[in-house]
Amino acid sequence: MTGLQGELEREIILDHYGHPRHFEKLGDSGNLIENPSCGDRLRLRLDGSDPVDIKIEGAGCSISQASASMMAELLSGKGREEAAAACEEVLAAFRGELPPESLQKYGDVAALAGVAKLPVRVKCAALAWQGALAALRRTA
Amino acid sequence: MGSTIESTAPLTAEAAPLTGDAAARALRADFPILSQEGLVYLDSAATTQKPRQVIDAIVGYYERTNANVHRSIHRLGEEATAALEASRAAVARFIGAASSSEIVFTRGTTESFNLLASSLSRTLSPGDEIVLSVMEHHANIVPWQMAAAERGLVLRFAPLDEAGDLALGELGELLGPRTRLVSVTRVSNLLGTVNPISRIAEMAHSAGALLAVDAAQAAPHERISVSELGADFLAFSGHKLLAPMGIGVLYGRRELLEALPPYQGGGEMISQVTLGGFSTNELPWKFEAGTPNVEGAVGLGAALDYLEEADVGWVGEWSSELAAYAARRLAEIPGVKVHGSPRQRAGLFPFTLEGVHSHDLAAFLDSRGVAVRAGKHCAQPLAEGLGLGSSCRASFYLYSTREDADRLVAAVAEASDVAAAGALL
Repeated sequence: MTGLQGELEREIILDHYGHPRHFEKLGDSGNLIENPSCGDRLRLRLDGSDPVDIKIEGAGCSISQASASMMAELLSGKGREEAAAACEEVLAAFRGELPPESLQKYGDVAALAGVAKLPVRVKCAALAWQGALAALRRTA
Repeated sequence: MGSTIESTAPLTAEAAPLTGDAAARALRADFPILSQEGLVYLDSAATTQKPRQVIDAIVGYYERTNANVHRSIHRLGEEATAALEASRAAVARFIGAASSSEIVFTRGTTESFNLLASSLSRTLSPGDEIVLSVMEHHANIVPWQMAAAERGLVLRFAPLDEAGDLALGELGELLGPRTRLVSVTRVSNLLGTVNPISRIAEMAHSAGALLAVDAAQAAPHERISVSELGADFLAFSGHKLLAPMGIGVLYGRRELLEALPPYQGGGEMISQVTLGGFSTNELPWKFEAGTPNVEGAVGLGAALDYLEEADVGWVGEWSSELAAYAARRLAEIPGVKVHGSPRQRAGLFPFTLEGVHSHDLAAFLDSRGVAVRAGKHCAQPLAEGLGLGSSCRASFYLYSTREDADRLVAAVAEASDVAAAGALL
């Protein structure tokens, strides 16, 4: 345990880390995003379809990869507008600009609520969401 | 360099008695932060903790001395100026500089290299070459990349060998008639490799090039002599040797600094200003635009006093001995790799636990009170060149004890057990 979250949250994060959703080999397709300081890497394929169809390939710490998996699960099938709004709200909660409870309505993502208290790891959790938000805006 | 290098240190050595443990335990009493229950601070290569003597010097400066320097014609102004310049003289003695005028105060090593790259590159011509090594910290890479893009300079990078030592033969082959500067680190902040700077100085000088040395990880651990090293320029940070953050040093040989154009413009760096132009001040103030960090300089002076008292030579020996002990014991744990086996290693080393990302390992160690650095350590070209990616780094200092090392080993062993059970976060 890291003090990051309780036992239940920890199990949810570990489950996504061990069995990431919507992950597959992407080759050179999609956009590569990374945290250069720690080496978390995600390749994100989010083409122009509406509703959103999202595929991810990644390597990195448990928080970065579990967060990406949770995001793919949450956003898949949502309309692009709604997906972008969810990204913005989740990122605001990670930054501490919204209360942690605002993540409750996003299912497993709520397990990451404790991240906002650890400024060094916010960027691990935020990586996928920032990448998705940029992609959604690019093709909007 | 595609393959990951592993420690070849023998694993069977008996735990030899550690010579400096009693001394280190005695010094700990000077560091208020280390009295926190359960804290094992093994991130001193990122920044050291501060002794009471340094904290008191800073408080004392603000309670008794504070005024602006070099311009206030009153008692406090004189005293503050004297304190700043006394610290400069202490730095000059600490690194064996010929004169205080060769000591420029900066915010730290990063600003020192930005100053040097910016000013020196303006004296160079397109096609001139600068030789660096792949083990440099980003602070000794990016400023040169910026200068190279602006001035059309060519950067060349000396590789490492499999053990993590600088490949001197290849370095020599990079030197040529257009080489103007070789800029390398004394100690790698990732591998702990200690580079043979005086040999590199001979190579650079016989090629007609200057030598700049990144001493950020070396100055806390050894008695620096710029003349013995053969350094034409040398940079280090205060905060890695017990002083506050935001104060650092660029040393340059006097005639070289005199020939360089100034870095930033403003107060203190000028001698005459008219609406038509300016003339620069004498050394070292020519490079110190604006009100300097006097509090930082005072803290740095107190830190150097403390290091002299503790004996900086002993500090380096103890840190290396303790690091070697911890590395040897960590390498015995299933799944743990200690990376690199350079001929001479300072008091730090990188390690990984198979199948566990360094952030997750560092977070687990933190939950056991053990603070280590995780990531690419601002040395991305080296980290990726070694195939290492992200790693944890343990670093030791004068207040680190055998117990600290044992607590690290115990926490990593626990992480290894938990990871084997498939549950680490």
